[in-house]
Amino acid sequence: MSVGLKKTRIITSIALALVLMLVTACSKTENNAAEGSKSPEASTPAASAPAETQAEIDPNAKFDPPVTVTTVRAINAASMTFHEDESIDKNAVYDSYLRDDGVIIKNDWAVDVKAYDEKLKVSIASNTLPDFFLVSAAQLPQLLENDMIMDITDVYNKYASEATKKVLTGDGGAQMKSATVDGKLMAIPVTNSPFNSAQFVWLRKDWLDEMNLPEPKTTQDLLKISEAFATRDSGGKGKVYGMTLNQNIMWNTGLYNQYHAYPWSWVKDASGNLAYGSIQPEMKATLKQLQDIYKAGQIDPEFAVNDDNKAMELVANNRLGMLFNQFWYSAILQNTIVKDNKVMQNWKAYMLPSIDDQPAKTQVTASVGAYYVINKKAKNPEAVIKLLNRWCDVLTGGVLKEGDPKSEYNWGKERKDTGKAYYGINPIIVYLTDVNVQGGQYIPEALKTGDTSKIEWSADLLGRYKANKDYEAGDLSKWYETLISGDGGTFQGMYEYFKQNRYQYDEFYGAPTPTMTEKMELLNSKEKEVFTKIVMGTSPIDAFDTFVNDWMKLGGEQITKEVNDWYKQHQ
Amino acid sequence: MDKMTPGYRFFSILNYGLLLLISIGCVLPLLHIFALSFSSASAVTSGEVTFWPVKWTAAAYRNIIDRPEYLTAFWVSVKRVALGVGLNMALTVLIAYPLSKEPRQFRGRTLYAWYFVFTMLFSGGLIPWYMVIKETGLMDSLWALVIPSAVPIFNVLVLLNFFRGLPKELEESAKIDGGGHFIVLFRIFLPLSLPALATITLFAVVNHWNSWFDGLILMNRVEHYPLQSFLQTVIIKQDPTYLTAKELELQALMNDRTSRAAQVFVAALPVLLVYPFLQRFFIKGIVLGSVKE
Repeated sequence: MSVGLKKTRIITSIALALVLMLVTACSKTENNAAEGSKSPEASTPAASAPAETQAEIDPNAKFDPPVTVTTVRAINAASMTFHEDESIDKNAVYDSYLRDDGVIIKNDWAVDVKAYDEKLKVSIASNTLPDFFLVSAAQLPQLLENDMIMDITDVYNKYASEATKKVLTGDGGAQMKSATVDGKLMAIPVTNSPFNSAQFVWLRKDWLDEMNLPEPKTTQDLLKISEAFATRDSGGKGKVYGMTLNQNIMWNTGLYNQYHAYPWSWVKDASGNLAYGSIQPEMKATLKQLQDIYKAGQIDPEFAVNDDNKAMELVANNRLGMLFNQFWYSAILQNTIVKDNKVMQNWKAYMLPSIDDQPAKTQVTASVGAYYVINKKAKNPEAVIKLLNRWCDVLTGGVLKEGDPKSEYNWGKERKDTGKAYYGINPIIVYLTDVNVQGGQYIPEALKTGDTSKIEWSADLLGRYKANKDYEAGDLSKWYETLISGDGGTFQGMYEYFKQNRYQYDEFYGAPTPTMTEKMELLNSKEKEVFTKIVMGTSPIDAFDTFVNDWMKLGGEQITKEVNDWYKQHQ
Repeated sequence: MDKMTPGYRFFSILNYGLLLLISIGCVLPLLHIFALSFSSASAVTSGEVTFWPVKWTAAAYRNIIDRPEYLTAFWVSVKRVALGVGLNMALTVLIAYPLSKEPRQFRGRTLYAWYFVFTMLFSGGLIPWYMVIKETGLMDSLWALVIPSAVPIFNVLVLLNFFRGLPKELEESAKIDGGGHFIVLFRIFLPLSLPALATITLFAVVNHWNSWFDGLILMNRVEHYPLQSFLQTVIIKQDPTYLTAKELELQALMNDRTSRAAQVFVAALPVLLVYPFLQRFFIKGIVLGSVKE
């Protein structure tokens, strides 16, 4: 009986294994068949492209009959407005592309920007990709490795307009280079201003005035301010702190930059090689200083668990007057500070002071966060380049005229400025690298003289100018904009940093190296943990040296080697 | 209960005290969300709200009514639960009944049982799952949320074991009176299994109402999201990778904790309400006294 049972069991399991093998084999042949039938298709665009280019070289020519390109979209409510009869699939902006370029844009799917990454990962893994799509820098190597995206060198050179080329290489070409592999252009970088990540110290100006404190010229001044702020009385709302750190301790780069420490970026060392900023001695000095300030009770002890909302609670209750953040931080402050039609607190952003006689540089990166890539199987890659041309034309094409059909790219079907954002609907969006710096140069001047001729080429800058004027006229909902683009605002600070050559570039701006992809997340979380503990005094400052050793052992050494190999190639 | 020794009394107090603490721990977060949703935005930003609303206002709820996306998602979820739970229950009952028989009554029963249990232990993984749904043309439709989870194996096992616990004599008596399998199932087994059915219905409802990941991956348009997928995009923090400085700036201006709290609260409400309605089916000992041995 038991023998019989065993036998049947064995037979069943063998049968099962056979069935499984059969199934996998079947699916494999199917795959092969599918690939086989697809490969000639895939080669057609390459074959027909030269023929087409001979026929039409004019990059501005319209497609007739129209061609269809497919894409996938991330919907971001902040920069997209849809009228009642409109959606991401059908709207004035998409219609404009059909009217002006003869390109029909079809969305395979369109989801919220927060769900985009997840959805795209599955689409990539199952190889169900549209003609062109947006990917993050972390995903680009995967697509390259699996040979899923097209080499667009030729198509870009032939079809990209002068304006496009100017916009994309506006930073001197580093961002384009990051999309180039072995001399082949594989993606369109979403060019963006490296200057945008410049850091400022945001201070309660009314407290400075009230306590007769000088504006911070040096880090020593700032330390005194922090000390003085911490002695204030919030009127029963709780202890006042000198400053707070961001929950993500990696975000406060401005704080470390004062000490010439450049964490989470690559710096050139004495021998000309690249070294990781977080493990340099300057970083240890900064952490020591922070530990002392923390011990003196000047830093919010809950910073490590408090998110932006919690920080805003401190601000609202007059318990906090100093933060390090980027140029747009006044937009976060807005809801807390402007209440009942009154500006309750006076804040101002200052450029970073320095610990010694060397001016502090703010660390920025030329690396690109996201790229547009074209599917290897796409039939009309040139149509994608035309979409890009159109956007670059809108970006640099000068002041928009009300009622002009072309204004629909920016203003939607109303063809006039209604204060709502439509630009996000455009399927390909890249940014000028220095628009905000130019804003810092010209908007404050224009506000004084009323002469807007220098900013009229950019709808964005003009909008900011108008917001400033609205604030002057009493519209308090535009308060945040005066701290950004107004006189003494952060844009002006970005321009000053630029003039004084105070941007410290991350020397590595390539795609993540193999070991980085594998180990960087782990190293970063370890670093965050160790640094937070040091600041809070639960680890002695010497834990930093142990960390440096651990970092090297846990993959840092290999990463440093890979980064330097890259550096040698890109010099 | 008349033996109230001091030790027993001490244990009772400790036990009830502990259980009370745990249940308070469960209720407090919900109460906090409730308080946030009914408070004024300025009270929330200055951190005055803990467990009771400060400066009562229903503005956040008015916001919800003004958001067509939220209502659309809510409706998708309602449809999904109605369709999904109906399908779940029908299939669960139809599968559990034959599998509850002895192998001599139903040959191959063990094989079938393992066939189902196998899927509980092993799955094809995310990508094959996605491919199957895509190739079968279910993508972006309500069916994609309902069909792949049509047979909840765990529920089948619960019901199957409950069926087995029913006295065999009841089934035999029905057979003697000439009843077939359907009569036995619908006239005897199901009426006797109300507690088990109530339990697995609750499982099915909660499961369908709360799942968000499949909606996120399988739906191609925001309008087709069920409520929890939609909420996920409202609640989680934005990864700035795909955002530019300008968008960060715009996004910062839109931060609104009260309206998020209201959306979470409304989404949790239906499941809270289902519970008391099913409560009365949780009756013990319904078969007691039906058979004399």
